[in-house]
Amino acid sequence: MTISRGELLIDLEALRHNLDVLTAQVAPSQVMVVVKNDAYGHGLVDVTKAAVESGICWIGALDVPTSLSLREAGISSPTRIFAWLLDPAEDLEPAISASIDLGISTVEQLNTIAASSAATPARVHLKIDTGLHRNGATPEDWPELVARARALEDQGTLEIVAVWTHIAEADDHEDSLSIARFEEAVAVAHDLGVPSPLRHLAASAAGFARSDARFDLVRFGAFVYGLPPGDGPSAESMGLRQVMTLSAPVSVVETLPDGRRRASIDLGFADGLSTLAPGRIGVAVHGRRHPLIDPLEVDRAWFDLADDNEVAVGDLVTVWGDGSAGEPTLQEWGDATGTMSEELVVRLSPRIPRRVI
Amino acid sequence: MIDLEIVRSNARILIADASPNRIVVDLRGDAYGHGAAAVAASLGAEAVDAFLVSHDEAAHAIRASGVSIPAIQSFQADLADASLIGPEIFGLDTASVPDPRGLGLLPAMTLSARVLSTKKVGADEGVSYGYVYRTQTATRLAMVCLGYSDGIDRHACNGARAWFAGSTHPVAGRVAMDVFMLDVGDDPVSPGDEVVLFGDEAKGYPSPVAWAASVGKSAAEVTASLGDRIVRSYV
Repeated sequence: MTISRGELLIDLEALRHNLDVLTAQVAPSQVMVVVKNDAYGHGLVDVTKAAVESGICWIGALDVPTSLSLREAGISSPTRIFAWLLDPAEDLEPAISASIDLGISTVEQLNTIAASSAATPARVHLKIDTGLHRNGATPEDWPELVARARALEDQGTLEIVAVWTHIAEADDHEDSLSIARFEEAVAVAHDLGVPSPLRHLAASAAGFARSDARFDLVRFGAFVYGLPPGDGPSAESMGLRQVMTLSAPVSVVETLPDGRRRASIDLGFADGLSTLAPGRIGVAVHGRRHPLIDPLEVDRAWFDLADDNEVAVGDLVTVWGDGSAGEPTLQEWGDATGTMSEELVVRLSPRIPRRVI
Repeated sequence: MIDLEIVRSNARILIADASPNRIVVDLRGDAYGHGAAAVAASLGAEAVDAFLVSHDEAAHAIRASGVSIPAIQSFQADLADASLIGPEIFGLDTASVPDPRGLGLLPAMTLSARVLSTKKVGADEGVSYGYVYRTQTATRLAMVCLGYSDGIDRHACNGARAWFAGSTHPVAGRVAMDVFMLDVGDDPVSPGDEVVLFGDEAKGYPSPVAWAASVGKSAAEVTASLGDRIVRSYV
């Protein structure tokens, strides 16, 4: 089949395989599948539906608009949808009425819930800051947050579903300190009348590796898509499969005045490819790897053909994939360009057509 | 926010400087993130002979906005006898115009975002993933609603500064997928406040050129890779 400028192939079979691996790895803890940023560029609704069909009960959607769009797409209760990036000016009534679980860090946010006109109690996850210092109540502010939430729970305004945090994954020792601070916060909440909340702390890396980080629920984003951290074990060695393949047809083949031969694809830095890529990584054509070369243009990337005479206009170039056609994985791309595979996938232009298999 | 009056003013400076050839304005990469259709419409009455665009969609959008100047793609374009005006039209640095402000070319884009929440922290506290940033003194941190999914470089913590309340402050820690932290020091800060990543230096903002240099990129690459979650508004 012909593809225009480029194509993202999303392999839901690989995704389902990853979910099975992750579910087995952390059992009896549950798995939350994080689908923020259009499911890391893989397609919000397709990924969420595949996860729900695989038996996943928790979806992490980042914000209220994304959460509501999932409810509208038919992801209904009892599938829980979690939103934790809340706009301070946002009316939370639609989220509460749609039974969206809300990540709450401040008394002001609790007051916003109390002031909403929702007819049903809001489901809240109270967040403690255990060192990352983004959102989450500081340990000093934590008792006040819990006490205020308890008071509103008694009034029927909300239900305290969970206590949670987010850790820095700086190193094992720092993460252990965060785990200890989290357990302390759970104990404080217990003493303030929250007897047995759901507890969640870990995202992909810590959740996969450390049983003491899993608690009741692990929030898996990157690993769902087969994206391991940089400079570490490969997806394959962890039993995971990369879900996304990016490919594009050869648009030009030419010989430069100095005799070097090069070819292009019509994807450039405006499509999300990094200008750091030339000289550091290559692409695959007919199973052979060819290095990207400067310049990476706004809408075009060039690669060196050396003595490969078999590359012609229209041939399929695999930019990244699971490696089975000789192409680099996203982990290799991240390592080569000084970033993480997550940054590469979420920065891809949404205008690149996506095909789900 | 994109100021189309600045685009027009920059265009007039560049067209006056160009040799009296065919003038082609480079609007590839959706006008380097500025919006090809809106920019083309704003230049509809200028002495421009053609727009260079990346794809059919951009060409269609330009025609649909009522612009009669042709939009052409690279493979259709014979630029041998043309003067090609590039990202410098947006006040961005290019190989041919390394110092746009020196020519009177002002940045057309102001990138701003709102503070979602704030936090007081003590001295020597690690911030964000990997704790690569540590606070020097007790300070206030503002969580700003932009992240690397929006095209903000993960490594902006290595020297990038953003404007808040009259002065610039360091990006604190690795930029996360959807937010970054700004170390605003003693300045009072509240949810909903505005932070400016880059814009017109005359207003005290970091210039797009300075912001891009602090992440090791060209300004055109920075603006072209900004995500769609960032609302483009025009004045």
